[in-house]
Amino acid sequence: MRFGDAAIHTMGWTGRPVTSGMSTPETAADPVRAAALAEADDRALVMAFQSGERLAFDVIVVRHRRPVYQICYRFMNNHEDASDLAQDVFVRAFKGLTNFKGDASLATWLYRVAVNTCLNRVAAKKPVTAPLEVATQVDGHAVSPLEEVLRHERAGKVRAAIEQLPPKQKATLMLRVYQECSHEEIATALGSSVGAVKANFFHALKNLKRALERS
Amino acid sequence: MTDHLRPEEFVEALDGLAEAPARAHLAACAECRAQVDELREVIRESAGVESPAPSPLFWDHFSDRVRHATAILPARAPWWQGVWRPAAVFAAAAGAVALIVALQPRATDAPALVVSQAPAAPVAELAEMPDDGSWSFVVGLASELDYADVKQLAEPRAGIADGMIEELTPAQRVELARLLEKEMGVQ
Repeated sequence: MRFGDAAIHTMGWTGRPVTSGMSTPETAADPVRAAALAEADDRALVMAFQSGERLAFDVIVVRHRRPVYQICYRFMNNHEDASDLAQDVFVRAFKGLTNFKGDASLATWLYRVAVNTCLNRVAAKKPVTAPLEVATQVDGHAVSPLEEVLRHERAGKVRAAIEQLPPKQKATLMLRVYQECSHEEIATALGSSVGAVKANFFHALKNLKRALERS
Repeated sequence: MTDHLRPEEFVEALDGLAEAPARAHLAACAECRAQVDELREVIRESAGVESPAPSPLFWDHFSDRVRHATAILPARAPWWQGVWRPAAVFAAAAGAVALIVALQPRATDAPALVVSQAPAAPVAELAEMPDDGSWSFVVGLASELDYADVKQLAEPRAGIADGMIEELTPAQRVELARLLEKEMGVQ
């Protein structure tokens, strides 16, 4: 499960699995409404927020914080910057959501906010090139210590190669490969054409291939 | 074979969405086929690199941070609501005033107070009056309004009467006092 926290899993407005599960002072005050919002799709949450229900934004944060954090992490390559940036993304979203009209899905809109926030930060600050954290093992089958070391080493090289990509190519690759966005969604998120997204994706893959061959 | 696939066509081929000409080219061009395979391998390898997962405790802390950071921000209504709502309230009020003026008798030389002393038209009679469109216009505007908006606009606020009296000329104040005394029966 890539999106959201474990609890209730439904198919949301975006067509992707969405989850809910939260506990805040507001939910404690109005658990019935909180439960209703947790079941609502993104469109209903946006409408509730635009009507003045702050609690709806809490649900939006819970539902989208993981992919937003992941985008930030892949840009910054360290947890501290990624968590600060992800918080900044949601603060910007809070300010901008009142004018969100639903032309794109909420997820795509949030990715756009996230990518723009990351691109601004990357332009202002050079990120750490080597990740400090160790990647978690995702598949369940047992691997030998040697396999684990080799896999970890290779993953580090792939991360370093991604890190060297031009920002737009990196953003395109992340949204396509890790967030599984369509080319149209990426075009919306990056404010470019579908053709440009496909070209960026192609060049990102070519550059990655070259970088991995050199390493 | 010189006209190899363009970047967009490679991506479409990777997605399994290549169009017929691109598919025909791939069938005949080993170089492009090899490149598609290599790019697919790069995707597979990239996808296998997971970003580290933060501690489960981090997420609650993160939500708290966002809530704290947004607590001081006003939950603003969409800009179009901010524009059209006051405009609609104003338009409805203006329309109502225009309607009242239009329904007044046209006796311009009659004293103002005579109008207020005239017997009010029965409600049934008003309801049967022909509508020239003004009433429908006002009803249409008013139906879009929230009670809270109208109440906020029309509700008297402390000091508003004092402010209005301040703007009167001395002669207007004397006339106002005379009218008030007359209404209250003060001799």
